[in-house]
Amino acid sequence: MNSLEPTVFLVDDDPAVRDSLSLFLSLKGFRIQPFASAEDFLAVYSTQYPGCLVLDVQLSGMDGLALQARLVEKNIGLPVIVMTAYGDVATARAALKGGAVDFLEKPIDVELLYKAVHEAFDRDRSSRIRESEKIELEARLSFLSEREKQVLTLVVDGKHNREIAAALGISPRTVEVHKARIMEKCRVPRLTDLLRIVLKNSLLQSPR
Amino acid sequence: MRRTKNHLALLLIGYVVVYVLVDRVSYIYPVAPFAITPWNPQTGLALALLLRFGVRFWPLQFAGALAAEWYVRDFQAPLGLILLSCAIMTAGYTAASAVLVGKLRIDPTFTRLRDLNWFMAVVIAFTLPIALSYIMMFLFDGLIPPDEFLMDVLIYWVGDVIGIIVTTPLLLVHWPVTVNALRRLFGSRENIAQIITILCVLWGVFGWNVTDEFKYFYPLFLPLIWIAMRHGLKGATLAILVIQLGLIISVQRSEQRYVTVLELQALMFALAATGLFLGMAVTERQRAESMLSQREVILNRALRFASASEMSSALAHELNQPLSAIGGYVSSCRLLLSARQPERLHDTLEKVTAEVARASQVIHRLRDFYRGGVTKLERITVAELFEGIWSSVIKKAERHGVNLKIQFDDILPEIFQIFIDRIQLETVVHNLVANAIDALVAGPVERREILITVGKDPAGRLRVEVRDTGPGVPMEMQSRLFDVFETTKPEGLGLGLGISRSIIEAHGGKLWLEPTAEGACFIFTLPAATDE
Repeated sequence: MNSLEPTVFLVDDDPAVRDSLSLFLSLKGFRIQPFASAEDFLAVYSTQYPGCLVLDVQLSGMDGLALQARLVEKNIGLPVIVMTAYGDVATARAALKGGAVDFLEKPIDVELLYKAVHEAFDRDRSSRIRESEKIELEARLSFLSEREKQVLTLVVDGKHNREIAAALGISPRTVEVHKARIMEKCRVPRLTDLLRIVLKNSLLQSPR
Repeated sequence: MRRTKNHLALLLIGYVVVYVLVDRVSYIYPVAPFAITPWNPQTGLALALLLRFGVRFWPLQFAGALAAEWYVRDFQAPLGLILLSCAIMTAGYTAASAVLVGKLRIDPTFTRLRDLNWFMAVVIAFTLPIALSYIMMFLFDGLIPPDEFLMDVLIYWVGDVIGIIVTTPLLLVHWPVTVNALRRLFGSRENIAQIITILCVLWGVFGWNVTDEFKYFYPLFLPLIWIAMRHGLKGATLAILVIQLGLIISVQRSEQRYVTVLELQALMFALAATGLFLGMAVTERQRAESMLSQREVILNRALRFASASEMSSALAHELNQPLSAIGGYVSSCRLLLSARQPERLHDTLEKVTAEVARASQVIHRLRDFYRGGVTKLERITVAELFEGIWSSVIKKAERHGVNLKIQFDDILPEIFQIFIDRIQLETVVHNLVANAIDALVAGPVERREILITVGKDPAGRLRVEVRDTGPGVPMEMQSRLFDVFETTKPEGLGLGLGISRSIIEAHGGKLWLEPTAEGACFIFTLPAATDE
């Protein structure tokens, strides 16, 4: 796993099921990495690998639901598709409450699996994009001076230039200058773009 | 409504007619000029009526008795005396019936030995006062000489007893007579042979002039015993009747009467009592046997039913795996076909074949499991038993957050052998653990723990203890805990513990709830496999 190409991580203790689903998904053009147990997967996986997890609930050793709980615990946001041979409501509920994005009953309808993997990949991709936007912006915000941060905080609060000027004891003109600096440092063409990212990621939690 | 009325009318008229006829036919060998005969079957008819249809039919019995006096004996005694004697008879039999059915609660169809014992005792006790007062009346009226009094009472008493024990069980056991029953009676060669034997013996004993009739009555017991052993009470009552009739006809036909009435009565009583008790014993035994096998059938069905739900869920899992694999392979084949990769296509099709074989094996195993539900005993070690079931129970426990542990105490599980049906025993352990898990999950419990302790009891038998930290078994449940259909679980079938106990007992062991301060503790024992 050298590249960061999205991968389907498949965990199922039945060799035939593992082999069959791997073959199908790889023929469909997915990169696939099968595992025989939850433990094997945990030993290898780290957060930077994108893709999704296709997980059987009934496993020898740590079972699927326990693995899901462990992922939440370790703050791993990889989308999980849960499969089970016992299509009971209790297991489905537990899986979905544990954050599974989809729940498939065995025998698996491979077309449904294909669709589910597709959706999970999309979901993973957008969440990773959001994550990287956030990290990048955080880095840039750290370049702002103290005064600039104060100005940005007030802008986020929805204050006008005159109000900001009054609050900080500077002229409205100076506020304009600060705003231009902020946009330049954060490399955004318009202030509204900056506001969107800041609000969405609830960055800039400066003390009042 | 109409129908029952018609039936009632038929019963009323029929009873009186039959009563009179029977009295007339049996009116033989009268002592003095009065109604003292060696056996009085009409009294048996009277008792059968009261036992079968209830004591409220006493007026009918009274009417029958009166009609018989008039028709058979032609009112030789004064009318007042006859009315009084009929009243005494009716009162006596009504009281006897009331005691038997009301107080002693015997089953009038004679299903247990107890029914016959009480019947005999009550009949003997109640007919004595009737005989006494009946003969006394004639004595006071001067119709019987005083020196014959005791002998007449005795003959009358024994005659009543014989009449009753011959007739009443016969009627009660065979009522209502059906065409099928008659067809069965004459349809079997053995039955015909038995009837012929009775007739031959009767002829041999009484019809042959060479023999001194009473010396050779012993052979009469042989066909009676044969029939009683084969057909129980039903056969015995019929045989007694035939022998009794044969006796009376023979005695009447013979010109020289070597036999006194009392001698004849003694023989009749001995025959009847022997036949009845032997027949009763056989019937009771047959009943017990058939009930036992019925229980077995029910148990087997319940057992298979209970494991059906377990099986279907295991089956779903086992079949779903190969089916999932096949689904994936087949879709892959389609892709490989359009990608023109014949080599890989071929490989994948091979894999499909292998998975199909795997699925069909699951089906075969299932069929084996259900085939007749026969017990298959095998010799396995304790370790093998628990290894076979451990992965499934531990997984179930973990799923419910229960800490399940097993410990071996003073036993070598790899060496200690038991001779058991593996599937059945696994069902028991599974049931006990599942019950414990349900109890732990249902209640608010601090610790969720189950401890299985495997060891030996003082007698060297395997002892398995399943102890949980749950809320325990409620007091009011404890006595009914092992009943089939008894359950504390709203969705439960209540089959688990009852079946588990039956399985363990069928293996020669015991299963019980051990009283504990905390939680619940079930223990079962199993005999160790013997060396050979």
